Amino acid sequence: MPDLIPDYDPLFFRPCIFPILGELSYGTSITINNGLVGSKFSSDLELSLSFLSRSGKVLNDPKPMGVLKPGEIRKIDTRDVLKELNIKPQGNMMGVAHLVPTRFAGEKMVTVDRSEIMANVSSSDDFIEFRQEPKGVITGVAYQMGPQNDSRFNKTRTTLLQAPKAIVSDTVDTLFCLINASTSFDYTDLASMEYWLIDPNGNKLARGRIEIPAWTFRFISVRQLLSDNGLLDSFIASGGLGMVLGLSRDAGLVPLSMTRNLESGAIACDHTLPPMYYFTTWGGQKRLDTNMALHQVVFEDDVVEGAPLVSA
Amino acid sequence: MSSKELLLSALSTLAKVGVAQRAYGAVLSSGFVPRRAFAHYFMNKDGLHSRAHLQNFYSTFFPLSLTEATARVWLCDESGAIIAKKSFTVPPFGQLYLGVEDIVGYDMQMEGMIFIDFQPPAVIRKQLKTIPNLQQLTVQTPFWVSYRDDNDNYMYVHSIESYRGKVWGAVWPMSRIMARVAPERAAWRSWRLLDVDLLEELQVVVMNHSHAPGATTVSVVDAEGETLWSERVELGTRGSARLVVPEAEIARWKADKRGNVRVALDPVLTGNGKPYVIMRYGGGPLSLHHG
Repeated sequence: MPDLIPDYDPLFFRPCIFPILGELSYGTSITINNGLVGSKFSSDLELSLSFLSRSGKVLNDPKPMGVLKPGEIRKIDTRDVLKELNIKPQGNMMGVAHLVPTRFAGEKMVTVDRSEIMANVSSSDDFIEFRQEPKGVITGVAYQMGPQNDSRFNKTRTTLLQAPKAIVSDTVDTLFCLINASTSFDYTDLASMEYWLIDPNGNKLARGRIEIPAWTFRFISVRQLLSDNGLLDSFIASGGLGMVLGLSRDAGLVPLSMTRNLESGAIACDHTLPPMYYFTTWGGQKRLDTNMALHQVVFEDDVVEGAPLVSA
Repeated sequence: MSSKELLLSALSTLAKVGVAQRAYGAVLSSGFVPRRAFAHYFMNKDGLHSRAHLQNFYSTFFPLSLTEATARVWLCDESGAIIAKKSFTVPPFGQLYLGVEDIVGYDMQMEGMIFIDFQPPAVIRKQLKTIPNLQQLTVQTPFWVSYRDDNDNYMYVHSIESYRGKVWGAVWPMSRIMARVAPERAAWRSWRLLDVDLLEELQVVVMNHSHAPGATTVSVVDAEGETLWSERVELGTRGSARLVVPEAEIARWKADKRGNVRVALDPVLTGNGKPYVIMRYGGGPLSLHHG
């Protein structure tokens, strides 16, 4: 892959892409930073924000909101910004904080250095915070957001989700939030993921498939999956713990797990782990071959006619 | 020069020799690939209950060789002393969910480090050579730990750092060298800003993932970098400390209208040995995240 990438939208030089959990009545704050200090790639970054509707439609033109110098950090409550922009929060929306080098400010397309982008991404760790102040719930997750679903950066578009965090009890549900984003608002590809809920003994319990339109996120609710399959009571009675094993072969999705207390509103929130956390040099053809084999072993056996298509 | 330094020097020289490189490549191809165990903070105390969550990930990465695998679990107290070690078998695509009773055998009040080595079965070990860039490969054993209160309010975090003091899978002396590499210790500040106005409770958990003892200063700084509170901590290998910021300090920050604050360590005791931060806002449930 070439080091220089022409025709790149600078709004996605160092984005922070995050969900706004409107349907669950949480506000979203973000703490963003210009974390690249003392590098040849360090530069001032201009901040702006975009918001997208539940269907992935861009709702505003991002306007400059200031500059972050290397080492600077800023917290933004997106509810305040939405109010200023006269955007009425409706359902589950997405937000994008754009951090753009000031030399690119106002440019439509630029030529970027892959190393510079990756240096900025790897030094970032944005904190996404979900808030329900009246209940005293403020929780969140930190993550980095590299370029997604852009063939200039990713040879393959696959997502392997393996999350032994499917916790369900009488008062608890676990949601898997799947974000389908890219490096341009012109991105329109529909993403899909097949998944199984698997019990601690390795038995497949319930199967689902979900579609995520471009520039949206969608939830898998483990509680809903169990209810739809008549398994909720037995799952809870046997401990209420399991793993969701999911595979997307058409998109790089960002999966976040959220274990939520339905009464208090508390949320345990974390991202899942990509394969390189397990095998530090995983990738390339090995990754493709394995995903194909995994699909054959897990998803092509036991085909369930009329498996529920989750589109909530 | 100490004997350890002599050994490191000799091996560094050897590593540059083609014959040695080829020999080591053959060793790796035989399946003797270094493996590091991720580590977490684990507590069963003060109304919080931890549970380790681990899946048989060898099934997902080698789906044509489905086989059970063995997880070896070490649980330590705050001083780093090992209080329990136990092995568990995990079936293909199966998972482990381990509370303190599962590891220790009873409902022990404790807090400290937990680390888990997940051993590749022989059939998997033989296939590790199919993973790209074998010379650079390290197998790791990420897992999650959840923390819940008595009302089923959950928090959880993924592994961010491995226990650096032991390396499995590799041949001696490689395993020895890797386990004795001097830890990277640099000053660190969290990229999360905490809201002082709503903050009621703040705890910071520090761990020493390295083989060597270390000391660090845990601080809370304001948005301009001024230190508002700090405490010095000395930790042995695998040691941990949960520091509770006094309520009076938080009240003072509110009175001084500090706005937002950050947690800082100087230094972290290993490269990614960031602290866990436990907070309570506005009378709500606790929340926890890694730094």
